[in-house]
Amino acid sequence: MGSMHHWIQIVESSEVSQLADALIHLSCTLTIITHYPFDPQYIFRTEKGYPLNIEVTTIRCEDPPSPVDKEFVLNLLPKINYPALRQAVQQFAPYCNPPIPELPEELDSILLNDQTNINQNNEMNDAMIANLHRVLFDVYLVEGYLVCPDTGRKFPVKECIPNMILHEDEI
Amino acid sequence: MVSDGGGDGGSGNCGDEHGQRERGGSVVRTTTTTTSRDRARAVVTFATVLPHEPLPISNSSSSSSTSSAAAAAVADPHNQEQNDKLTQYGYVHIQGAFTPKQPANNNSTVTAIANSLAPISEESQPSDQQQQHQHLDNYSGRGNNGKMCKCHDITYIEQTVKSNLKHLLSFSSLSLGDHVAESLLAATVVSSPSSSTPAQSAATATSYNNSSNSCNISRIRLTTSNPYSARTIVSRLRRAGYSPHDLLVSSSSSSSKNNSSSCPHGCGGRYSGKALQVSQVAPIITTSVEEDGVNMQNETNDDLVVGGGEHHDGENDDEDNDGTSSTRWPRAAPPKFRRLMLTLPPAPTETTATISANVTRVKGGRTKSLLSDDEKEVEMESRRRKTRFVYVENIIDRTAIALSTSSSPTTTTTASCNVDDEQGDVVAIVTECLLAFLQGNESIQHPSLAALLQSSSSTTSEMMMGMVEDDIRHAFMDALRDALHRDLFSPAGFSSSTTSSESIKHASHLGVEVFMKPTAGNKKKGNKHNTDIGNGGGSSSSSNNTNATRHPPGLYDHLHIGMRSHEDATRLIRLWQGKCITLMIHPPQSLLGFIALSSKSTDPLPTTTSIHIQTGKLFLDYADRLLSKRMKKVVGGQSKDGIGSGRNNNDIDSTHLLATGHPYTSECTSSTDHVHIPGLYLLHDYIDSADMEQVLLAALAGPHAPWAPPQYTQSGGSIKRRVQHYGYVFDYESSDVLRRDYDEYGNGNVAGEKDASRDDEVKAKHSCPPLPSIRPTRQMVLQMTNEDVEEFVTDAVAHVKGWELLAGIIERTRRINFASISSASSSSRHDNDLVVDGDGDEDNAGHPNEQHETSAVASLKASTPNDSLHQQQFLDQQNHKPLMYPHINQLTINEYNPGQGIGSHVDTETAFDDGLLLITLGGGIVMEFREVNDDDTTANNDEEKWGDNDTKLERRKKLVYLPPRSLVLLSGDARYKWEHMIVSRMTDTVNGKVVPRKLRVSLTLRTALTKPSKVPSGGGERQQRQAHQVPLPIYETAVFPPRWGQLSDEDADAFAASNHTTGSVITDRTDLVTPNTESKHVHDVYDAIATQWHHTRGKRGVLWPGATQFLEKLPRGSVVADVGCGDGKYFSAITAASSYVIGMDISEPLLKTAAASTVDETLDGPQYQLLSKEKRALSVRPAVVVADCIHVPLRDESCDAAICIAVMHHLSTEGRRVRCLAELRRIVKVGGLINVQAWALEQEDDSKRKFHGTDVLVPFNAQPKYLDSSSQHHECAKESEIAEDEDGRIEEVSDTCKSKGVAQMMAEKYSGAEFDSKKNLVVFQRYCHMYRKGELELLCAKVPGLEVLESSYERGNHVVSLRATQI
Repeated sequence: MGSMHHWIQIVESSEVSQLADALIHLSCTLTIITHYPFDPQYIFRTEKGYPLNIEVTTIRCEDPPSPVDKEFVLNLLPKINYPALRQAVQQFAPYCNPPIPELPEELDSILLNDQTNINQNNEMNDAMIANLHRVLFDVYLVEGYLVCPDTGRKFPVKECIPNMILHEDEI
Repeated sequence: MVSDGGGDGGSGNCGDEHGQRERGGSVVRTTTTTTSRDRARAVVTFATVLPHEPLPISNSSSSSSTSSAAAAAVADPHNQEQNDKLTQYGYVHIQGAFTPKQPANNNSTVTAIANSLAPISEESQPSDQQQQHQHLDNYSGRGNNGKMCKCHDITYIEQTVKSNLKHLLSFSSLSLGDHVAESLLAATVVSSPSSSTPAQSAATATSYNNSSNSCNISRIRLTTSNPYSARTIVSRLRRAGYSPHDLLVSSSSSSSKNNSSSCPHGCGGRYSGKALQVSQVAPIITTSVEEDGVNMQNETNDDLVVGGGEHHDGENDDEDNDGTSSTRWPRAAPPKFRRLMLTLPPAPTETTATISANVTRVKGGRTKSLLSDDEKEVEMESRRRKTRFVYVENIIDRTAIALSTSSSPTTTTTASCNVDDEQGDVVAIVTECLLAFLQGNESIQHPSLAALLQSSSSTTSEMMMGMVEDDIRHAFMDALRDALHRDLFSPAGFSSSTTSSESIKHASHLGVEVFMKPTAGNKKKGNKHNTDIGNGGGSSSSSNNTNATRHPPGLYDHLHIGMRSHEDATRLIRLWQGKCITLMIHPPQSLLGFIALSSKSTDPLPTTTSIHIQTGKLFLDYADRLLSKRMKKVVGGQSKDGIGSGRNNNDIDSTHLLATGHPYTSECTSSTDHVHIPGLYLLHDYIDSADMEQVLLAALAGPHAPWAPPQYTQSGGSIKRRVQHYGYVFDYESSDVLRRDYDEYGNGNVAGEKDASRDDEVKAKHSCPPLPSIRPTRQMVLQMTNEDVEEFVTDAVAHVKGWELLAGIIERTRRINFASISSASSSSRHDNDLVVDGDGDEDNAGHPNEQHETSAVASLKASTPNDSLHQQQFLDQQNHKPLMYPHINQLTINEYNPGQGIGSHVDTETAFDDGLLLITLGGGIVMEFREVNDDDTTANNDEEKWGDNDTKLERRKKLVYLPPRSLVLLSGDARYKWEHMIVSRMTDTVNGKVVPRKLRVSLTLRTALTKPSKVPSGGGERQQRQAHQVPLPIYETAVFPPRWGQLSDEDADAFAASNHTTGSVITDRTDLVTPNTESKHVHDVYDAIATQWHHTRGKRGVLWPGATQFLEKLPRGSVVADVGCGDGKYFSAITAASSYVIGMDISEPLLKTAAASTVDETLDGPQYQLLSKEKRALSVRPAVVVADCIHVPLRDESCDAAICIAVMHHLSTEGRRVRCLAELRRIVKVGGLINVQAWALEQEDDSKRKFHGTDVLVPFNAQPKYLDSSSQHHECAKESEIAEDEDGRIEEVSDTCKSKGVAQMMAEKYSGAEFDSKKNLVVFQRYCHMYRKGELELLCAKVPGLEVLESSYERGNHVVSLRATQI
């Protein structure tokens, strides 16, 4: 697994004062969120609709970066699908200002497996965790779309809240 | 099986020929069923087997030209008897390749028949008769058993056999016509040395050398050009009282005619008699069809145990010693053929039938069959295993008038005489015969035929009539097979022009066996007859035997059609169920010839070639052989006879009861009209129509009803009546329901531990078929509206689908609100009714049928799930609690014969929930209710406990007549405080009239509960105990019929194939579409009230301890999905636990408040200040998504935990509820935890909320200012608000803000809202489903991979903690 997650943070556009706080960590959810055609037969479905692509209309990056919670990030890491995260970052990175760090192709396995050693300060790892935290928690997709890679269905994101409701005819 | 009364073999031989035009090969099979020897009961059935697929062909013994043959080996009869007392099968078969049938209407046929008839009537028949008498003389003279016959001279035997055969064939030529003429010419006897295999020869040689005498006649070959004659010859042989033994014997005795009854080798008459009588010598009839140099052979081999004084079979010894030979002789012993092999011949051109008799005798021992072929046996066995039977009742409408015939005259003959009359005769005779067969008349009384008989030679009339009957039966079966072929296998319609190759192709797809079974009445008589023989053979009168000889046992009440697979059987049922089919019967030549003979005229024969017969409406059901086998396993050692004797036992029981019953001392039900039992309801005509009743009875009490093995009561007795449980077994010994694997439900144990300790016995005890269900899954059932259910029921009746109908009836019962019915119908009273309605309404005396029916059905039809709201309002008005039993999960079917009853009892309280529903089918009965005194309330838990009530005079008694098709509901007091019983007697007195009882089949629907909690047993407070019990899951199937016990692989495949898997969640598409109820009464409401909701509830931050504790226990860094997060009430708790939350809700306005709220609340609150900087940073980042809880947009197993709080009660169908749970399971990884909370029907006493139904509208009083979007951001904290809390408390804050105009405006703006002018509020109605205790657990049980860890009740909510397990 790779190294970082992206969090697209969706910010309510109307009230700027609240933007910093009303954050939707979309990149986190992106690694989790999916869309799939309905199949009544199975509980578990194929992951055709994953990961979702991002179409950015408005994006906002936290500036300055929010404080890093190392432990939290490390706890969260195993649950993140790193390739999906990296793909998301690549899609919204051009819109970010200030720019966000790039993510390596592979996530250092130490981050995933050897968490005790990480705490014994490895600068490289710390930087990596900070980067991860940045992309995970400091980026907000305010307006835009999440696009199903399989069907092309666009799920609108408004005021930082994606709407994943399907129309009746899509069910 | 000499003693086989039911099956006097003479009658029954079926030859077979499948409708000669299309089939390539067919086999007739004679089945002999024997039960234990004591009963000496046997049933012979006849079957015609059409090959499904060709078996591998082996080159068996006989003729050198054989290249394709099928052999059938017969297992040792003794072993068979020991191992399998249930059934023994014997087969005779004839295999034929058939050429397309030519209409037998040409003049040449007529001439031929006429020619062949002439000599017979004058000479052959009398001589045959005479010969038989000689036989009789012979046998009566035999004395000792000790000697065996010695026959050295094969040629001699050959000659005698041959000559004897000639007699037979000439005799039968009456009906065979020209075929027989050929047959006679071609008949040859192939003696053993020339025809047997080397092994056989060796055996023969050995036995020759041995002084123990053996005689081996291997084959008598009869060549005929027509399979019809082959079939008929075998039939004739047996009809005439000959069996293959007889052939042998006859040969001896015919020699005795010449040689003064002594075998030239000294065996004499003694030998011949013995040979005939020893039924153990299983004869071998091989009829093979030879064509184009290819000889198809079917051989049945059996171990032969024959020897003077060395018979080991007591049954046969009895026969030999006790029976008088004169009475026995005319009856041929049905042969013990036990295996059947089929070969499908290639395109036939000419047909040769070979009949071989093969008797090997070895003194005191058994020879293994010479031709046993293990491989074939295996294959044969597998084929038999696959065969599923369809049982057909009412093949001809019992009313008989429905039998309409039409004769279709073929080409008009040149003969001028009254053709019409003759045809009329034929039609009439065939019709009468068939009716006689099918109605089970023992003696055929068709005047026309009788008249014919009278006019013909009296000495032969019986025999002739028998033959005609045989032929008509054959013709009927042929017709049936034609029809099967026509309807089932070539939907385009059978065309007579089908070429033979095509027909073979068809035939290869065929796997049909046709059985006809004797009627129950006939069978009974057969039993009796047999018993007589068994008890004292001498007592059996000759008239009895004559009778049995004369009349075939196969008088057919119903018919079995064996199909090769479940799918075929299903298809057959689907195609023919409830339909009338037309059979085209070709009147047999024998009949035509007979008519010609009797008329003694020189007129040409009648020319009728076919008669069309319309059957009655068919009742088809599965008669599953596997089912019976499994039953037998289940029965195990308890009963030696198993299913086969079920009826038999019952007969005895009922006889016994007859003696002990009190036929003349029944009480009059009208004498207790004044007694009222609260909670007792009687619905007349719950089973809508007599048709519906018949369909139900056909399935449930038909000959193949899967009755349970005998059960024992606590006292050690056994249940006398026949009983079957579905869903869950009620154990009479422990007076408790057996809960399978659900025992530990609700007791906190982890499932799966106890299974290991269970032994097979317990498993067998627990085994019962599941409840029938109208849809594969419960969710799908629940999506159906009541109209759908009624439609299903109607459809099931129309198509005579018994099991489906039962499923529909159960589902209907689950949906009826009896409270509304009773109140609705209480307005209509009827003075003369017998039953007191409950509910404390003194004058509510009962209801006339129609009103009940209409009210029941109407209310059911009116109350679809979406209308449940209205229903609730109605109930509120009536101040009634609903009487609904949606969790019915157990069905008991009882069969009460007249004279049978049930002891006074109260159904076990801990086993079943309130609400017992009894449906009466068949015959009405008087049920007696006795009030239970308080002091023995607890003592009367036992079912089957006979009441000892007479001493307690103060106990009140009530007699209720339960008419057929009625439903009785025992609820409340009637269920708990009144015992009910049925007195054992033959009649009931209803309103002063004596009504004889009839067979009554009762369906008892109950709700089985989980194990009672052990804790609060003290005090015997029922409510307390039951509070900890929940209904068991509904165990059901939509595969019909519901199978018994564990599934075999094959059955499991069938299940899988039919997509009826019960384990996985299959959701219907409609589940995902939001119902109007929800969008209007849930989504719209929350969208509208989001602001106020957040301000009045979210802000207070009152979290339920159950949920917070759950969250606190999660490991740090967990990803938690909050499905239905609303305004994010629990976000702070989740983030406080260092977990990451993804909140989902369908209401966008609420989500916006959630996104916002994390700011104001946590930033301002004191808690926030306590958090570390990092924590603060995290706590403000909830991710929220607008999503539907039944379509959660998260990856499979992506979360560590999920909470779903106060969401489930807004889902309006069970399918959606299950779907929601399934989604929760899906998004949580294995081992992850889920917390679900939903509103409880049972509210605390101090709560202001009282829910009167499970589906209700809960008002939400909204203040206009919140609704006005422009005022959303006003500071409102100090303004007045009246809002309801989920705790049920109404909160009043100060009242400063009144904006009446706005409120009214708002009320108009929102469609679902009403304006409350008094309080100046907008009242929204929220739809809520209130969960009963245990309901959530039940839902969870339907989702694979969900394990209930803990369930509790907290502040008006039911809470379950779940763990996701591996699926």
